[in-house]
Order: sequence, then structure tokens, then C-alpha cells
Amino acid sequence: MAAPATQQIKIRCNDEKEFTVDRDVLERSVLIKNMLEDVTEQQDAPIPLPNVSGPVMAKVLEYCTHHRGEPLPSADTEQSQDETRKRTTDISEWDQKFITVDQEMLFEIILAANYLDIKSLLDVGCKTVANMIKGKTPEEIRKLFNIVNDFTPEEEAQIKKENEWAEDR
Amino acid sequence: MASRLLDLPLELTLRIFLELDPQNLIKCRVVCGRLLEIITNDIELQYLIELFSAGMLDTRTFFPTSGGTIQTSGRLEALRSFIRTRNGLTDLHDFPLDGLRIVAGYTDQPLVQNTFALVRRSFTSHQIRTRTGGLEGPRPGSEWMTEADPLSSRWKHLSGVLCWNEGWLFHFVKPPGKSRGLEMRCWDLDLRERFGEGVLKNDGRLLSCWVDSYQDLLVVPEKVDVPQLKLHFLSLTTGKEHPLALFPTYTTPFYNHLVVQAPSIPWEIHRGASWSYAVDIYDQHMAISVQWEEYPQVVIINWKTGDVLEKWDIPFDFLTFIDAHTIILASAFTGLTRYGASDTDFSHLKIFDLRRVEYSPPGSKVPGSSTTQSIPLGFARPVPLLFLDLLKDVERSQMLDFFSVCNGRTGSGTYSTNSSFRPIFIQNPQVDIITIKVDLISSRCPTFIVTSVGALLDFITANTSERPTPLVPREFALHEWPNCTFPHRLHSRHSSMSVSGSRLLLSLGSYNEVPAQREWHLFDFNTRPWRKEQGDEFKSKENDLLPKNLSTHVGFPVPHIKKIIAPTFTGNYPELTEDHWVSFIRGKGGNPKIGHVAIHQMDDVAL
Repeated sequence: MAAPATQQIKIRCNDEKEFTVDRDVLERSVLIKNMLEDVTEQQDAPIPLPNVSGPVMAKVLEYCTHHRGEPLPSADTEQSQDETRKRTTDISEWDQKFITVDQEMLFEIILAANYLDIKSLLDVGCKTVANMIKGKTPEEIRKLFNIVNDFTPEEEAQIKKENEWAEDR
Repeated sequence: MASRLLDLPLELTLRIFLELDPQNLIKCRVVCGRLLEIITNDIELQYLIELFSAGMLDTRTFFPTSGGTIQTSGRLEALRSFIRTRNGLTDLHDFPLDGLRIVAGYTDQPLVQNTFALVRRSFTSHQIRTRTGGLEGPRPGSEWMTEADPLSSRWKHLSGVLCWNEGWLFHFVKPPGKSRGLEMRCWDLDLRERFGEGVLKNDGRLLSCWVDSYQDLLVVPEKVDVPQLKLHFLSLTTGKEHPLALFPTYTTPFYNHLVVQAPSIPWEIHRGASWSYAVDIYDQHMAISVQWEEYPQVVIINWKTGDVLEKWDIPFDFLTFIDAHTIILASAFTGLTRYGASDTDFSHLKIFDLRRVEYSPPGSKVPGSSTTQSIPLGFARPVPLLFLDLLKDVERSQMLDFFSVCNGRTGSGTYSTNSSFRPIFIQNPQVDIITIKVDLISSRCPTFIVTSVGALLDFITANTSERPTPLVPREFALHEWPNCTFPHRLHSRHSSMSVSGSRLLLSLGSYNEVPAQREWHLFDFNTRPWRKEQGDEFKSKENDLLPKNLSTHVGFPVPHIKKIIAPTFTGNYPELTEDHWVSFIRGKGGNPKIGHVAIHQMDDVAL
């Protein structure tokens, strides 16, 4: 790490909100990390992040600050992690608390994490949504995510029948 | 307002769904058309669902390194093909069988010597599923309790119980399959009526029989004359002649003593019998070994047409097909032969390719294992018990190492070698998953380790300095059983288990105390919930042995049977199939005649 820990980077969100953040915090985002590596000279102009809004960025930065200093998954380990992937839904206590937000914010965080390429945060977000789905009836899922049931009654009966087949071994 | 979930990019939706277990995925299909489409079009998700529906497990989940290079699409295809075969008994010859031959590389001299006596594959078979009804039998739901003898019964993925008395009577019961609309079916077969009174007289009892429920085939031997064996091909579902067999029986050729020289290799059947025989079935191929005095023969026939494909005059009393073309023949010689030769010279293993290539015959001097490959696909044909048996004689220290690695501990010595270390392999007949029960002195409860033969062989055959990628630990310790109501009184001797597909059924028992306690727990490796199936207390008084309140079971009547062959199970031993599980409870106090066989419907257990 050649860069001094105190180096401050400015970013600007799509609502003109600006943040000044320690470089190592921002480097949790692979996107920004790569951007910073491409830029050799010190720049005063803030990095524009057209896909993220201020409130969401604030939340993301909270996550990044808490997890600063943890090793970033390299491309290799990411690969093998995908392979050995166990469907665990364990989320650490802090993350659990952090991600307890309204649904709107949750999905914004997921989208931001995807855009900024913060794998661990994306995982936390996806697992949280998965946990919301678990154990609910289809009707509850529809209500929760504001989904319209677009099946005809016949179609629905047919799928339910197929499901029964699958579930009832 | 639009739905945030549906508006996500597909890539992210899939990421979320990959976090779900199969049951929840199945449920999500009903939510709306878009989710149905997403799930159905994604091959990973579809594979998860179909694997779950089939009650099977992919070894890749546990052992990424032993998973081979077959991609999910290939796995899905193979899975579907397998299911088609299992469901409809169709596509028998298209069934993908590649990848199992490799095990031939694992034989090693010390293993060979000690284990061929055990090379006796009991039948491997899969559940026959037919969706036609109209079978006769008692109505489902009616309850039969029996105090008749549990008999020598076999329950291996027939989803039925086949039992016979020691002389002449077969009895088959297949309980109703609720999900498939099947009604009860059962048949009795009186061999005296079928074959005549005299034919079995030679030793007065039924020798053995073989089942291949892939093909709905039951093979019953009839001893015609000493060196000959007559095999009857019956349909398992009806007990009548098999419809696909051109000839209902096959008789091995009579051996012409005068023409054939005694084989140069002296031999003696390890059991000391004057003759022995073995049969193995693979699709249309049937291998029959008849060994009588110095005149051995092995015949490979096509049982459907009656054609003889191969005939060898070689002394092998155990045989097993590895795939459609490959057969392993093995002989075990314990003790001195009549020629006074040392037994070590006459343990033989030969591998024949039926396409007329005899390859890598290790002979009596087996080279050290050189190739190590893992078994690539979890749901290929069952790994023959041969190889599990080989594993049993793996050096203790290696096994201990293996368990250490499984437990995520490094180095050996984690387990004391003088502990009561008794691994018991429990083969999963459908996938390459074995469950190993280990009793350790340090904990009075057994520990279960789920692994694959491929992974274990990888580990054992690898040079210790280049250990394979650490195995994903899967250890289940009974004392941590979450739902057990009497964890501190669990006793491993009274606990046992059975595995089928992705499911593990545990029968937990407490110490000898009154009242004794027993519980059944069902566990699915795909989803991993722990569920208590039945909790019950019963007193260990003879007349009060039967558990009460077993509301979901269908008792199993065993009529007509007078004589008992001691059942192979001791105590309480559950057997599990996809649709049902069966519990045997045998009386204590030295009265084996009191027992209870109950068939429980799996449908009633919500996983």
C-alpha cells in the first residue's frame, strides 16, 4: 500500500451530494479502486457516480467504513468461492443490523453494490432478500414485493400441481 | 408502484434465487409469470429443483474437487435421463454410465487380500415407479400390526419389502404411493407350486435371489444338479414370468469333466462350501459364476434373449459389473488350499471388458495404485460395494487422517488410534455419497460423516505430502442433535441410520433404561432441516415393545411364515427409501419372534 492512509478522495453522487472519504474505505469498491489506479495524478475534481444517490452512498460508505481493512476477495478466490458456494444465509450481526432498512433502500443498496462492485455488500443484500422470501407463501411474497399475479386460475392450478409433484416425493 | 424485485436486472435476481433452497424456489414459481420464467430458464436453478425433486444429491455440493468437469447442463441432462430411467424403465441403454470404471485403479495388494471375501454386492436397485394403478391389495390407510417374524427381508429401493422364508415362499409387499396414486400391491410366490416339490430338495432351502429393480427383475435360482444352476426370471411387480425374457429360465451348461483339465490354479471357496455361485445383472447382461470343485465357470448371458456372450473356465466366486462393458471378477482364498499353497498367491482380481479386451488385470501381484480419479458424477450407477469393502481395510491411520480433515482439523493424531474407532460405511445406493458412522471413545455418541467414495479414495491414494484440496467438512455429531429430546442419554448402540438419495434417517435410542426412548429424525442434505419424525416412549417389556402413537405407519403383515431366518438387523434398524421408510423393532429378552415391521409414508413428513 503505497498510498498513505490519510489520502482523501472526493466523490459526487447523482444528486450533486458530495462526500470526502479516506481512500482505503472507497477502495472497498472495485469500481472506484480501478478508477483510482488508472489516475496517476492527484485530482481535485470529485469522481462522478451517476448511478448512486446521496442517501444510498451514505449507507454504502457506512458499510465500507466498518469493513475497511478486511482483505478484498481476489478474482481467484471469488471463483472458487462460487464453486464451493454453500447456500448459507449467515449474515454477521453488524451487517444484519446495517441492512435492516426499508425495502426501497435495500434494493437501492443492492443496485449500488452491484454498480460499485462491492461483492460482500452485494452478498449481504441478496441474502437479505432471499431471507425475506423464505418461508412465505406465494401470496405473501406477492404482497411483500408488490407483484401482480398474472397467471390465469388454470395456469396457477397447473403450476401448483407441478409443484406438488416436486415437493411431494 | 412497480415491484422492486421484478425490476432488478436478471443477473441480480438470479443471485438472490441462488441463495434460496429448492423448496422456496419451487414456491417462487407460483408467484408470477416473470419469476416462473426466470427460474425455469436458469439451468442452475432448474438443476437444484430437479435434484431436490428426485431426492438426490450432487457430490459437487460437498466435494468441489471431486465433482469432475461436467457442467451443470450436462449434469441436468444426466439427471433427467436417470429419472426417466427410474420412472419409466425406459432408455435403459442410453443411461449414462461413463465415469465409474476408474475405480479399477484403486485396488492394492493389501486391500485385495483381505477384502475379496466381502466382495459380494447385494443387489443394487432402484425404486420402480409405475404410475398405473389398478392393483389389488388392501386399501391404503388400513393398519396392520404384526407380531410375526420380520424374516429375512430386503428393502432396498424397491419401495417394497421382499421377504422369503428359508424354503419356498416369497412374499412381496409394496405399500401404496400416495403421491403417485399407487395402490398397495403384493404377491406371494410359492416356489413349490411354481417349480415343483422336488427341485429345491438338494439342500432344502432357497439359495439366494437377486433383484434388479431397474428392470423389474427378480432372479430366483433353482439348483438342478451340482454343477448347474437354473435361473428363473420373474417380474418383481407381479411375481410372474418376466415379460421381457424370451425364455423364462436359463440353465448353465453342464460341465464336461472329461474334456476340461483341472485349472492350473488351485482354489477353494473361502466358505468351505463344495460349490458356490454368484450372479450379477447389468441391463441385459447377466454374469453367472458357478464354482464346483475344480470346475469353475463364469458365463455372461443376455438374459432377455438367452444368448451366451462369454464363457470362461476361471475360478472366480465374486463378480460385479462396473458398467455395461466391464466386469470385475474376484476370488478370495482364505486359509490354505488343498494344494497347500499360501493363500496370498490366490487372491485374484480380473477386469474384463466385454468388448473382448482384458485389461489391467492386477493378478496376484497388484501394483500399487497409480491413478487416482474421482467419480465425476454423483448419480451414476451405484458404486459397487466392492470398493466400500476395500475402504474398510484402509489403514487406520489413514482413515483417522481422513476424519481429521473432514472435521477441519489439521494433521493426524486428532483422534487417538486406540479409541474405539469403528467406521461403518453406509452406502447411498443412488448417488456417490457414503455416510460413515464413527464411534469414538471420546464421545459416547456416534459421529456421522457424509462423504463420497471418490473423495475418500482421492484422499487415501494421494501421496500424503500432496494432500488433495481439503474436503468440505460434513460432520454430524449425535450429541449435537438439535431436536433430540434426550441428547444426554443417547446411546450409539441403540442408534442407527439409513440413507437414501439425499435423505438420512436416524433412529435414535437411549440407554437401557425404563422407559426406553426412541426417536426418528429425518434429514435432507439438500435442505438440511432437522426434523423429528416420531417421538415415542416405550417400555422394554416384551409385550409392550411396540411403539404407540405411530399414527403414520402402515404395518406390514408377514403371513404364512413359520420358520425364521434371523434378520440381518439387530435392535432397531430403519431403512429408508424415497417414498417410505420402514422400521424394524425386534423384541428384546432373547425372543426374536416378537417383532414389528412398520412402513411409514414419507409423504407425511414435511421436510
